[in-house]
Amino acid sequence: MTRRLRWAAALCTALALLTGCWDQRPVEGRGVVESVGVAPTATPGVRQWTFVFPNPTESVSNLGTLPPDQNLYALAVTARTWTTALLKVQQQSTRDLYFGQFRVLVLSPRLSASTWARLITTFNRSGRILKTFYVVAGDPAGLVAQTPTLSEGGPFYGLFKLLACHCQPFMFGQRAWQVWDRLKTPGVSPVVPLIRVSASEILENRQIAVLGPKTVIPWSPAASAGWAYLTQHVVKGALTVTVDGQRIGLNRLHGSSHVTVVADAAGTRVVDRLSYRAALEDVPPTLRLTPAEKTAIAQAASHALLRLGDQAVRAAEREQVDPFGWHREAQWARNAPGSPWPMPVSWTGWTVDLTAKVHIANEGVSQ
Amino acid sequence: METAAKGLSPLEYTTMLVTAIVGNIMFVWPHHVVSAAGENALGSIVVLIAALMLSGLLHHHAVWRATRHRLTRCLLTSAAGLSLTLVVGVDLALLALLLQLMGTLFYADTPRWALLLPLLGIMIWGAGIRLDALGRLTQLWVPLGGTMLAFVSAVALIHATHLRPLWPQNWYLTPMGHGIANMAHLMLPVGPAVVVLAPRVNAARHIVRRAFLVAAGTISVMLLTIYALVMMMLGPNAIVQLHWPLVYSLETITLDSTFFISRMGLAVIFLWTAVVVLSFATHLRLIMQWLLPRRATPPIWGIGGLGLLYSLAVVAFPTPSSATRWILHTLDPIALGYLILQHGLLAVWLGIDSLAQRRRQRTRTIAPIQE
Repeated sequence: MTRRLRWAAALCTALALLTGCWDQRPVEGRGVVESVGVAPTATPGVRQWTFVFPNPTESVSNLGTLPPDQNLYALAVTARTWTTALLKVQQQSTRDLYFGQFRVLVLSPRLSASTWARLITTFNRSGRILKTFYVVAGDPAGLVAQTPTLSEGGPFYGLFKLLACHCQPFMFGQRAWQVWDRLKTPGVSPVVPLIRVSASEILENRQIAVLGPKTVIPWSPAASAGWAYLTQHVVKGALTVTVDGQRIGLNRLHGSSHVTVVADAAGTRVVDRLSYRAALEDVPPTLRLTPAEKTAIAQAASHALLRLGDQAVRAAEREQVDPFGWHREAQWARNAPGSPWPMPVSWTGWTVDLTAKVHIANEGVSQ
Repeated sequence: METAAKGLSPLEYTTMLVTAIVGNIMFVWPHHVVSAAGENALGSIVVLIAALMLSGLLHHHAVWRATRHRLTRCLLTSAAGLSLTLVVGVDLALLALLLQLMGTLFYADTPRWALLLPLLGIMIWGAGIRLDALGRLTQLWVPLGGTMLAFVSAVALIHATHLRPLWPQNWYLTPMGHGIANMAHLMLPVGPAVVVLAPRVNAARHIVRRAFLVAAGTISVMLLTIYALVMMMLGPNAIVQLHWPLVYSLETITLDSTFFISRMGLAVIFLWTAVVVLSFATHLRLIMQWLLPRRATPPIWGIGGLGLLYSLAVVAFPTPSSATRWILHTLDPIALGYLILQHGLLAVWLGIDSLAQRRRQRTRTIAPIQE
């Protein structure tokens, strides 16, 4: 009996000790950080840090009634380092800063590449921050972080949904661990989406920014699309081509990009075969769509795809970056050690052979 | 050393071997091997698995020889004692790494000792029960942990995109050798586990040997799967920067864009922690069984004392880097030298013994003709 009593006493003590009540912090005591925006200021080395939180007055009862521009609130401070910024924001907040729901890190493309690398490494190192948040280039960073989307109300964070919805034409969004992994691997340049705020205060996700050796390089929408086609980051692409003076639209492009990297004494050769399927719906009423016309449209689309790919490859060569990871493939194939980023990427001695084939898989419901 | 009345079943033996050999290294693995061998790590792992199987088979042979040969028994028992001493050294560092993992990723505000106490409690309790009861515990948790790990790894496979570093065009032997050396600590529990547990399995010898081979097969599949998963997700350059590569990989699995579930990997981490703790308990139990082979349950002062020794981990290794350094730079070279010497001597001894035995048999068969 004494033995049982002793067990019961031990169990009760354990139950009392292991409840977690001693250091618990209720959800209303936490300031859930959705995103952080970092932008340079006029003073060199000093940055502006914008911490974005969901509006604490938001509750289940008023979820539908709260207008989108009241879903979020932001605290902004200026500081040289992340540590100081964290300290200053905590000093302004009545809630404990919590990073368990952290969604997006918005960095200004005007910050130097080394600052980017430093911040990404710091965020990755911290055990308190999830590794699945997105890293984006935002211009201007603070505004991008706190601009709500019209289509998304609480409890969702619009910028996060924009990247994670799998509804965008191109999947530019990169999770933090993927960006960090590229940062630590030689022969590949980290890529992030470049988000801008339009004149009518709407978030736009049309471009990528590539982390170069010294600066962050924004790519044009065409080169960004080319990158997406070459690296198979296309969810539902679209192309407009001109055949016999008529403009024809191809929708819902998706498919594959098969890459082979061969390195030998003569140099390195990349063979990339793009194979995409498209729906043909946006055609002029006069077009009868004979087999010859369809072939001509498919050929024109293939050429358009090649032009996009070509723009991406040329941009990479011009900026001496490799967002495709082909240098990484060559490095791994040789099994040679290499220093990680910012190892200079050299395209000397490289041949890139692109072929594209667009197959019209869907012609719509009418002739 | 013959079969005990209440022994282990072959399946319990298998799961106990898996727990004792790879149970506690899962979270830190494959950092050690990739840091030395890079992309050649696959070669190192294959060699290690082969060595593990050979070592186990050699020890089984020796254990059965020892049942009728006193000197072999003496040699085996002393070798097992030395191995277990080194196992304690590895365990201290791995326990520190487990506590640091929990403190870094999950319980940032909880003091280390508060994390250690419940773990130590479970360890001491696990080591204090009867051997077959501990066997049944591992029989429950190893398949559970394994299944969950397989399921979550399958989900993680969507991120496994880099096939290239899995099979490099050139294989370099020197880094491969360094990779094997860095994994020497993995081989340490094989000998003592077989020597202590094999005679207590209630089954014929060929079944016991088969149970060991099943354990070795399971270990191989686990090591190769985890290696492939982590390598294909992160590549050889990022793995070496992480203290807990498998945990990091599991942390990347999320369903936050479709559901509210954002950390699926947690399920496997919590489940596998049970196996890690059982692994420490099994090691404690092996030590007690080695010290007091005739007792059904070890005395509480014995396991309590060992538990106190294990709690030194918090003091001895304040950072993950110090624990990793201790394993890689201090224990691994000692373990490698010791294992080569021990296995070499054991093989030579068994060779001489079987030769002598054969000669005796021949003399016995020739003798009547001479008479």
